[in-house]
Amino acid sequence: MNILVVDDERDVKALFEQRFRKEIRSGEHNFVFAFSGKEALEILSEMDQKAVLILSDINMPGMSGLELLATIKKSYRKPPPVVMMITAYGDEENYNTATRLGADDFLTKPLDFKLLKSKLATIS
Amino acid sequence: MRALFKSLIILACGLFFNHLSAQPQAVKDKYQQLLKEAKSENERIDVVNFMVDYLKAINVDSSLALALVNIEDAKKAGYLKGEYWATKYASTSLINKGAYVSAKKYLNEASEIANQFGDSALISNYFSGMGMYYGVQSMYDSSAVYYKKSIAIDEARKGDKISPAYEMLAISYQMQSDFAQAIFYQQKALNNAENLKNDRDKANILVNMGNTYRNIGDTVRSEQAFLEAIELAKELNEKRIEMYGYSNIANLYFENKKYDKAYANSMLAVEMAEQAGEVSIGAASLSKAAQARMMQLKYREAEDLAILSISLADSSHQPLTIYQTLSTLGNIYVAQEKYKKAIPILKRSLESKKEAGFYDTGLAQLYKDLSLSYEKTGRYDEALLNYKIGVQIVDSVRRNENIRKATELTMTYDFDKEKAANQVIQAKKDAAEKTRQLLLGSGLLIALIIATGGWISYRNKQKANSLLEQRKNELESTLTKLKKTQTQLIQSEKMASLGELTAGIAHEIQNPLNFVNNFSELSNELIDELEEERAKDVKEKDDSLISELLGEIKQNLTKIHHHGQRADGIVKGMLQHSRKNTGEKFPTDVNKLTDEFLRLAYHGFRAKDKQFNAQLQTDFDPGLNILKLVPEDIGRVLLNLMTNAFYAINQKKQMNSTDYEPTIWVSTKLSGEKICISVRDNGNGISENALGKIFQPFFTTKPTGEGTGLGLSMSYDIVKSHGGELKVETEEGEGTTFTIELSDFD
Repeated sequence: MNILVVDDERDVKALFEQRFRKEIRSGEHNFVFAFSGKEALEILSEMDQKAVLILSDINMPGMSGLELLATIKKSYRKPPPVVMMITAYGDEENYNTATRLGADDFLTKPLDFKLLKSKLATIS
Repeated sequence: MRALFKSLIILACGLFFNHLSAQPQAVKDKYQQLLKEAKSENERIDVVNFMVDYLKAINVDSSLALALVNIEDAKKAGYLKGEYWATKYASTSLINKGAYVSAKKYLNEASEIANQFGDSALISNYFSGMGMYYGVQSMYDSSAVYYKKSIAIDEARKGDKISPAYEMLAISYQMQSDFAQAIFYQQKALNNAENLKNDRDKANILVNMGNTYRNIGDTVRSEQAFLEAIELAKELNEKRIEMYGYSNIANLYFENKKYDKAYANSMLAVEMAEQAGEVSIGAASLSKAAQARMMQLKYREAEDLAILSISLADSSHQPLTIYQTLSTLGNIYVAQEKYKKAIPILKRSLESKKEAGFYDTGLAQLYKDLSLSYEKTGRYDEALLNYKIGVQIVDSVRRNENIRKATELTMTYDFDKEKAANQVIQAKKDAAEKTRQLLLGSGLLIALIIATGGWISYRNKQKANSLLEQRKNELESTLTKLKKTQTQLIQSEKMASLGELTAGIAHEIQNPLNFVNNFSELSNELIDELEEERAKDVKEKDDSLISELLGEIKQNLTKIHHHGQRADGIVKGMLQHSRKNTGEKFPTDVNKLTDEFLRLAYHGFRAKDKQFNAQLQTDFDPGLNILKLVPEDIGRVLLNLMTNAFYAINQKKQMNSTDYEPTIWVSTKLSGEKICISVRDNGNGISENALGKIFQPFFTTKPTGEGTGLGLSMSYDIVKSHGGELKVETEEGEGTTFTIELSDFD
């Protein structure tokens, strides 16, 4: 499965690559990283056909995770990609906004990678 | 002051009686002789009028009686001019008796006669009579209007009798505390009297000028004027003028805390008053002597003098004199803390003052004394009530004071100039003077008023001084309070921005901590894997995997260290921000500091407004030196500038949500010996109107409660204290750039 991770923290890349080392090696998952909402949209337009799961942080400079979510859900008519939002602990407001904008699922910081893996398993 | 105004009037005779005025018997003889010599009824009426005028200053009642008879005689003779003067003198005497209704009746008649006669000199005289009529009743505005009318006529006529009118106009101004105007007219009067070589006028004017100088605090000129007046009065044997000289110079000495001299001169004034039959002045002077003794803490003597002065004042039936003497006794009781005794005296004093219709700081002080006495005797309601009234009066009187101060300096200068010019003119005139003097002699009738406003103005002055002292103390304590408040404000501004920071800090610390946790956990797994691999047989061992694992562990440890440092920096920054300023400079990496605060400001702002978002563009000059500065201070400045920038772009975003990309550019740059830190936004900019005020404390464009208005003001001060500059460039609708310029000297 193609997974797009959107976060302004660059070390997220190293983190995911290590956490999913086995899955990456086995080719079970393919990770792509974007460090801003804008970059995420660019990448998405290039990988149009493929099934995509998007994991996005909300707090980012420039286009926020919520704007990205809204754009994705609006502009992709056919089965839109699954979007999982990463929210800060106890941030009700963003949680509600994301739900309204059509977020498919939520993860809270700090990320629980075991939980994430099980969720990915059910999706794929 | 009305009674004083009235009681201190000197009604001076013209030259005709001048040389005789010291010897009443000689005057009477001369009078009888002139009556016999009179060749016509008109001439006889003139002579009687001179006598009426002379008597005005000696015995009001006999002057009035004689005037009334003369009016009838003049009417019978159809002698308008004679009738005018008799009528006018009658009105003056009635004014002196306080019979204002009758006085007005005679003034009206005088007006009719003057107009009928069509003589501008008489009309002018009538106007000055009206000026006096109003002046005595404390209606100074009306009084000034009439005196000015009189002066206008005299000046147009180029008459030589202007000085009394000048003088009286000056008194009107003096009574209104407009001392600059008062001196202006007194100087005119003095010049006029000198030109006419009229020493009597001159002496009177000098007394008044002494008072005016005293009122504006010119002690030297004041003393000079009084001494000169006393000297002249002695030469002329003018007891009244001498008396006024003593009583006024006593006030001056009192004011300057020369109590022995004040006492001595007051007693001299009492002596002169006795000789001149001036009950009122006698009472006032006794009261003054009592005050001098009180100031020397000789209470026993002070009390005796004050009680004596009250009985004398009572017999004068003049409310202001009564007020003065009573309030002195009240003060003496208060000074001795005999509050119960003071209350009835002060109340009586207040009644007299009200009767006199006066409204000044003296009245205010009376209310305050009364308030104090009530307070000390446990009558708090009455104490409070009286205190409030006192404060109200002080406030309204002080407003007039301020206006006065603004003008008097320039005026003094102008007088000196005018005086010099006049001396030249006078020299030219001297030759022609003597012949004119003779002609003027018989016609010159001067009604000269001396207001020894002295006594009262001394009181005003003294109360004003104690008021000033009190005011000074109040201001000092206010200043101390303000300084304390300022410190508190700075601290609370810091704490307010700390609150803004907290959310940013939580976010900022959470991320590095997540990384630390994740990478350390992962490293643990990697080491497990590494050990697993190491335990394998030599043949199965994958060396490349081992080095890959080792490499990753090392990389992770680097990341753990990096994020640990990051969290450390944030916590330190927070502590520095909230700590009381030590003001110590530390070598600081400006780029790092700026970056840290940008993140804090951004997340702090987002914590308040979840919808907010912005592009952050940074451009840090890698060539920047380590700069010695107070990091918490500069950090605070950065936080302020950045928070303001975020606020600006957020405002604009809310107005036009589409097609607008809220952006902030933060850059550092080394140019020459300067380090510039810029914070630019593409918000709405600052209006020209607001631009001049942005560095003023408490100026804010934010809605109430949202901004303290201290951010930029404090930022400005901080940058200045670093020897740097805080600059602003803005374009309305386009955005704003704030630049901190710091010198790279140490």
